Formats: sequence, structure tokens, C-alpha cells
Amino acid sequence: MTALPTSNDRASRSHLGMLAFLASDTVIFLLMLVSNIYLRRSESQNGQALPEPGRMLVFSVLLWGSSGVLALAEQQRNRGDRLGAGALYLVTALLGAVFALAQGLEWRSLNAHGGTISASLFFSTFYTTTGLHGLHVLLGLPVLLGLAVLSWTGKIGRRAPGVAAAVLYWHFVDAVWLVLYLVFYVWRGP
Amino acid sequence: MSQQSTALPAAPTRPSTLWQVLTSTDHKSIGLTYMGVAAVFLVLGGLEALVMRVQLAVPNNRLIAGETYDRFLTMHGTTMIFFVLLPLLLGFTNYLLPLQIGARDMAFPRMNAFSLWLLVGGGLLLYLSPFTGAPSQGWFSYAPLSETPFTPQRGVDLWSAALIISGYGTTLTAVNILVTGARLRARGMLYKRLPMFAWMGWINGFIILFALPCLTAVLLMLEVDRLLGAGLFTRGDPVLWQHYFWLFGHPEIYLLILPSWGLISEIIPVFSRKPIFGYEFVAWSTVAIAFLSFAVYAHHMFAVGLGWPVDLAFGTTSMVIAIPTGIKIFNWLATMWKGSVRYTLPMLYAAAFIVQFTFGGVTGVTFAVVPIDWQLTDTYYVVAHFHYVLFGGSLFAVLAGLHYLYPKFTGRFLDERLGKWGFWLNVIGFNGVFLVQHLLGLMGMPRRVYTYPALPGWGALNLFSTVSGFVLGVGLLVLLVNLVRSRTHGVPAGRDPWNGWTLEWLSSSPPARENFALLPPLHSRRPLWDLKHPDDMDHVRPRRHDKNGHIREEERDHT
Amino acid sequence: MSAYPVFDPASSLARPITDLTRLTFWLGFGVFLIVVLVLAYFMWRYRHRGADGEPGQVFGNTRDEVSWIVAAVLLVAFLLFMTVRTAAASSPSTAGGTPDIYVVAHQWYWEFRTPDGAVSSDELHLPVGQRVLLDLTSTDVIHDFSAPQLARKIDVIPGQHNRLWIEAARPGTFSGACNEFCGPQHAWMRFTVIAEPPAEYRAGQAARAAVAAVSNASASRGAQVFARVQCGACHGVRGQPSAFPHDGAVGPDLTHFASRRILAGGVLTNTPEHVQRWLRDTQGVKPGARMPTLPLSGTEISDLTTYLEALK
Repeated sequence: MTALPTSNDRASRSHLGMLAFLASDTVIFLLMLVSNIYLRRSESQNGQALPEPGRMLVFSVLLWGSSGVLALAEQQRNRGDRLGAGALYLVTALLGAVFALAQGLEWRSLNAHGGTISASLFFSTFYTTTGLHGLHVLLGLPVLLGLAVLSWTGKIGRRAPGVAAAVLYWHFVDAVWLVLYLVFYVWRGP
Repeated sequence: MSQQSTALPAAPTRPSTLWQVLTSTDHKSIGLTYMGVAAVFLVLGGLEALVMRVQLAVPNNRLIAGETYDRFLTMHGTTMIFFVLLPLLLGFTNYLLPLQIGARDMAFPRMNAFSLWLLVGGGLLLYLSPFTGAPSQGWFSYAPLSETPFTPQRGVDLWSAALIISGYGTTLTAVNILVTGARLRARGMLYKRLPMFAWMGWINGFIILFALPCLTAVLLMLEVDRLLGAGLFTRGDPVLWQHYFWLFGHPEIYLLILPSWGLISEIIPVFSRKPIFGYEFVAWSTVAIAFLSFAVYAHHMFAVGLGWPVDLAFGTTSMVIAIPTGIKIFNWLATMWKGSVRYTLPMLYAAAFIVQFTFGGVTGVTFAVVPIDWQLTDTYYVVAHFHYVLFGGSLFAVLAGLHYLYPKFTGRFLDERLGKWGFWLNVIGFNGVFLVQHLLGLMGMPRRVYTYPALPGWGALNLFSTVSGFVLGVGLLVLLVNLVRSRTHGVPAGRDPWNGWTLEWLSSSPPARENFALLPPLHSRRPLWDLKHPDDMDHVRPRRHDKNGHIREEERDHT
Repeated sequence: MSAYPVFDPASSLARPITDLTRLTFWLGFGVFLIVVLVLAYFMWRYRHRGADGEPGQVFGNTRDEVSWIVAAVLLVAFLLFMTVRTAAASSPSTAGGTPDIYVVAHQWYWEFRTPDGAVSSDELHLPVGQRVLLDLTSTDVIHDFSAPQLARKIDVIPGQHNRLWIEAARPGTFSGACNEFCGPQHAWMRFTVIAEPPAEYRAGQAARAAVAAVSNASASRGAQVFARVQCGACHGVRGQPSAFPHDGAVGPDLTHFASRRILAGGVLTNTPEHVQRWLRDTQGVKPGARMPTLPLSGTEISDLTTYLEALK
């Protein structure tokens, strides 16, 4: 007699597994951020003012908004609306893609203005951390597209334990960006 | 319910073809594959060690000098830690955890297989590095020595890649372990009833989860420096490397011993015929160690010059962590007290473990005394210390576990005679190599040197250590021969060859694919004891034991 | 030089560590012995003697557990108390004050500079009975300064300055070595500490601060070879004209080379024969050393040797 499956998606094995994995992932981001905060102070001209909060804010809002869209998608899935949920997963993916593109353009722009990865310790850690985050975004896109397709083809309905795990991942990616945005674009200290 | 009807008949569950091994998602197959992979790397890492020992056998030797020696040194350390000891322990956890909790498999069988192949992939990548110039910066890879200006070869980057990739395998295994322990316990298998190995293996999952990302982060930073010209550890702070690395590195060594403690905590009770003494203390001390392991890391940095307040803080935590470790040793001894000790091979290895691990633990405490560390760190005294805890400790516990579980894995016993030969060769060889290295350290011989001056005693002790290394090599070879040969020539073992008390002994040997057809009711920590002693079950008649844990006078006749 | 430096302290800074080491080792050995004896006794006394059935099943004893935890805590508390006392005695604060000697670590040799302009390599001179403050930094990777009879060890980090109090309580020659893996020739980054009574120390220091004087004819031939082969690009000889702006910045200073006892981080002792061997086959003697094996003829080698051995 092995353990009975639980009926709540959020308490499912895959959700718990994703939670554990993301706890591990958080440590990586934390160490990267600490290294940026620690090292940026050792150089007086580290170019920290170069990244512009305003321009990036637009795309950041899109990314954070995609979490909202994803929450709506989940709502529709729970109501049994396969088509609607699928469309909303797709929109989430598109918003994520726009953000990833914007991130790439931002990097190019910073590079052009002298903010290269070896320009200063601020930038070394900036690119490493936002790069890692960007990788997370890119990895999430095919997953979201996959959710859209699975929803349209009726493979995931009300009870789909794995979906909660994927959703948690995407919310995590967005939450991490909030912290990164604040540390790299907003906070001008020390 | 009779014992026969609860087990499925012994079916040949070990895959017989290479393809089956490569594609299996069965935790038992994966567990054994981990062990097989570890055995291959043990031979490689062992040969690397012997090469180093031959170079060090006499003073002023030029056989393997300078850069070449450092490549052997780096490959040896990396191999033994990441591709021998770690897969051995993950292998045991994979095999035994689901069985002990009454589950069919791990929570994510396919991810389990994926994790295995990530680790193997990492190992292969590491051993491709000699083709591009093997890494020579040491397994601990301190900056700025590990940066391009000082160690330019591509092998360093392959080394980083190997550890990042296998690190993800290990992290995913931890996720698997944690969810398996949380969600797949059979009904009645409460956390507080988990067998010691299952508990320690599960807690180990937490350590892995939070330690491995520190390694991934710091390796990424090194590669950003090496490949993209950032200056994180050069223009930045080289000591930052050490902080981040040891934040991984210290919990890593606990993660390399928790499952071993688990094995010892199974073996000593079974072969003393008594339950583990002080289950709650052993269990909670493990949790304490898991937390504390992150709080002691800078004891590897006492000579860096971080300042007395920092040194004192970490010296304190390092001494405190000795307490929960000591608790285990006392409880293992107390388990034997008034028991009925059998001198089986698992028990002999467990006894050797206790002696050797205690010795290594004591030398560890000497390092926690900060001023002593200021004299002895980075000498051969450290080399002796960590080999005593990781090899004489953890690996010997693995050897105990191999002899204990081999009948379960294969349905046959390991050969007694070969086993005894292997045991004595390993004990004599191991102690011969490493005991004298304490003296060398006290004499001032630094570690990580390819040779040394002909100072009084240095040559003789090094030579003794080298010769013992070959004795140890023979002992391990005998063990490997035993492992292979006994699959076909071993005495057949039944389901429960040791008269055990935990669920794995209910399944057939080897277990069927789904492990169990039916499980008995689970009311205590020793379900099979309850089955075998229905008039003396652990949880019933709570007044059987007085409040000091001793059997009441009037109950003694019921033994 | 003693066989067990940690048990043969020659300094008021090292002695407290020796005492604590002895105490801790005895305590540790005691704990180990108890465990081994109990193990051996239990395994023998409670061995299976063929009786049927199982022994009494005992699950634990809270009182025993608590008592050995308390014992362990007391032991740890005692060791911590001793730690604090010994640390204060062996590693006094280095804040404030000016350093007496500047130590610069290189792959793979030690450079010692004093404010009076003296520079020596691989040999550190100290006055007996006086605490000396060292300032340590590295030009490349992390090294570690370790002279166990005289002081605790301390890492030497590029871009940072660590400080260390060192003292020799008696005259003599003491051994030191790099104690942090620093690359292929970490093994041969040894140094010697020579402690002399204050008067001799001062005289020797004056001589070391003076510039090199080369008098005899054959040595001056060697000086010409030195200039022709451009040794000055890496090695400084104070008092000798040099065409190189950063002379001495790369390799050890050779101003008083002949007074030194060891070569190249201890791989050879300083004799004319060894100097010749070094010049003939540098990379063979110390593979990976930053000095290349120079294409020198036999005559050039012997002339250079004469010159170097004249640099007293």
C-alpha cells in the first residue's frame, strides 16, 4: 500500500519537487547578487549608472504581467476552458519572449556604451546574473508553448499535477526578475 | 500474515543487457549502476593516488614533477569526491530508500535516470580534460591560481563544466530523494518510524539542495573570468572564491558521510541484535549537523587573516558540531552494550569504521582549536585527517554496507574468505598509508607538494606510506574480485539473510520490480521485528520498558 | 632545525600554541582511547556465544544521553576557553604601528625588504628577542608564510596586505615554507630564518643594506656576461648599473647573493657547483620556474658563477 495520490495539484509530487529545485536555484541567484553588491563597491567608476531603469521597466512590467496572464490561464484550466487556457499560456510565452528579446537588445546597447562584461566588476556580475535569469526565461518558453498545445489537444484538464510545477517555475522566474531589477537598475548604492 | 505471502517471488530484476542498464528507470538498477560507475572511477582515482605516492616515496624525486604532479593531484581529488564517494552514496540511497519506506520506486523515476547520466556525463567530460591539458589547480581550485594567467589550459574549463553538469545531476537526485521521503512513505511509515538510513539519506537531500548551488555559482563565476575576461577573483577579491567554495565544500563533506552513518546505524543494530540506542538523539543530531554544516565553513580559512572575531565564530561552531557527531558514536557503542554481537564482515567493517572515524573526528576537533590550525593547516596532518574521515570513515562504511546489502542486491553472499582477506588488507593498508602522514604534518611537510627535502624522517615515513598504498590497492582489488565473482559463485542468500527488522528484508533477493506485493501493518520502527515477535511488538505493551529504557524486571522472561 | 617544529617552539608567540597542542592532543587521544577500549570490550564481552533468542531490547536511556552530551559540552567549552587565551598570546593584534619588514611572495620565491633599502630573497634575518611586525603581500597568487617555530602561519594574498608578528627567542637557523598551494613549484618555495643577537643582526643588516661591490677581475668578466645576457631584466643587483627600468621586479634580488645559504626556494644549497648546475639546466632543476634555461656556454656559466659568488 503506497501513499495515496493527493487530490490537490499544489500538493502534488511534481509541485513539491519544483519547490525544492527552486529553493536550490534561489541560492545561486543569491550568491550572484551578493557578489555584485560586495564587488561593486571596490571600483569607483564601475558604470553602475549606465543601465537605465526607465526603459527596462516597460519590459519588466510585461514580464511581471505575464505572471498575471498565467494565473488567468490556470483559472480557465480549472474551469475546464481548454481553448481559453491554451490561448493564455501562449500569451504568457509571447510576453516572456518579448522580454527575452528586450534583454538581448539591452545587452547590446550597454555593450555599445562601454558596459562590457570585463568593463567593471559591477558589469561582470550584472551580465552573469541577468544571463542566468535570461536562460531561465528561455527554458520556460518551450514549456509554456507545450502547455498551450497540451491544453488545446485536451491532454491537460482540471487534474494535471505537472502543470502546477511549471506554473510555479514561471512565477519564480518573474519574482527573481523583481529582485534583479531592483538591485541592478534601481539601487544606486553603496 | 505469514512472511512468505507478503513477498513477491524472486524475479531476475537486474537488467541483463547493456541497453536495459542504459535505459532503466528502476531505482534498483540505477542504484547499482551508480555503484558500478563509482568502481570504475575508484580504479582511476586509485591509480592516480599510487602515481602520486610513488613520486613521493623518496625525497627530491623527479619521476612526476611540478605541473604533471599537480594534474594527478587535481584529478585524484576531483575523481574521489565527485565520481567515487558521491555516486556510491547516491547509489545506496537510490537503492535502499524506496525499499525502506515501502515504496515502489523513487518519486521521479525518469528524472532519476537522467540524473545518473548527468553524473556519468560529467565524469566523462572530466576524463576528456587530459586531451586539452588536464586541470592542475587542485580540486579546490583557489583563485587566482585557477585563473587563465596562471593555469591556462582548457582542461580547467572542462573540469568546471564536468562539475556543473554532474552537480545538476546531484541536485536533481536530491529533489527526488526529498519528494520520495515526503510523499512515498507507505501508510504507517511516519517520519519518526523511518529507519536510520532512510532518515539520514533524506536529511542529506536537504544538504545537497543548498550546498550544490554554491558550487555551481562559484564555477560559473570562475568561467566568466576565464572565458569572458571578467575579473571577479583577480581585480575583485580572490578570497571571495574561498567563501563561496567552502560554503559548498564544507556541507559537501557532510553530505559525503550522512548516508554512511545511515548504513552503520543499520548494521550495528542488526549484528548486535538490539535496536539502535537513542533513536531520537541520533535522528535529531543528524538534523543539527545538517544545519551546522553551513555554519562552520570558514574553518578552512583560519590562515587567511579574516580577523579574530570571524576566526573565533567559526572555531566555536566547528567545535559545537563535534557534539552531535560524538552523540552518534556513543549511541552506536551503546547499541552493542548487552547485545549479542556477531562478527560478520559488515560488523567488522563497521568496527573499523568506528575506530578510524573517531580518530579522524578527534583530529578534526584539533583543527577547530584555531591556534592549532594556524600551525597545522595545509600540512600533511590535514591530508591524514580528511582521509581518516572520508576513506577510513565514509568509504569503510560503504564497504560495510556492500557486504551487508550484497545478498539483497544479488541473492548471494559475498565470499567469506576473500572478504576477510580484503578486510585485513584494507585495514592494514589504509592505516599504513595515512597514520604516518599525521607525523609528516607535525614535522612540517606541506601538502600538495610534488617532492620534499631530505629532512630527518621525511623519506622513511613517505616510503612507508607509499608501500602501504600498494597493500591497500591489493585489498581493494580483492574486494572488487569478490564483488564480481560472488555474483556467480556466491552462496545463495534468501530474502532475509541477516534476520533484519526493516522493510527491505521483506522483499525477495533481489527484489521484484515493484519491490513489494503487500506490506504488513506498520506500527513501529521495526516492522519485521513486530512480525517475527508478535507477542513482543515494539509499540505494544509500552510498559515493557521503564522510563530509562530498560526492560522491566517482570518482562524479562519474555525475551 | 628540529624534527617536529610544532613541538620545538623558539618564540614566545609559538610556545603557547605548542602547549595548547600538547594539551589538546592528550585530551583527544584520551577520548579516542575510551572509544576504542569500550568498542573492543563490548565486542568481546557481548559477543554471540550460541544462545538462542534475542537479548533484551533496550531502546535508549535519556539520562545517559544527557550526561554524555553535558560531558562533551564541558570539554568543548574548556577547549574554547583555551583557544581564546592562546590566540591572544600567539597572534596579538597587528593594527597600528609600522611594519618592520615587508614580505613579498612570488611564484616561487620569497622577497624580504627592510625600510633601509635591504632586499633579500629566501632568507629572513631577525634580531633575537624582539617582536618584528611583518607586512605580507603577493605579486601573483595566494601563498602562505609559515615558520612554525617562530609564529603562526598567515596567507599572503595578491592585492591585499596581511600582517604578522614574528619573534625568535633564541639565535639559530629556522625553517620556513610556503603553505598554500601556489602552482607547480610550491614544493620549492622554502625559506630560512636566521636569528642573531641584536649586535650581530645590526651589523649584518648594515651590510645587507649596502650596495654590491665587485672587486676582482674574473668577477668583472662575469659582470659583463650578466649585462650581455640581460639578467638585469629580471634580477636586481643594487649598486650595479642596469639598463632595465624595472630591474629586480621579476626575479630575486641578487645583491648579496653569495651570503645566502639556499638557492631557488631551497631546491639546492648555495655552492658554486650548484650555481653552475642551476645556470646550466634551470628548468631541469626546477621545472616550471619562471626563469628559462638560458643558452649559456660553459665559460659564460663559470664566469657568471664567479661573479655571483663574489656578491657577498
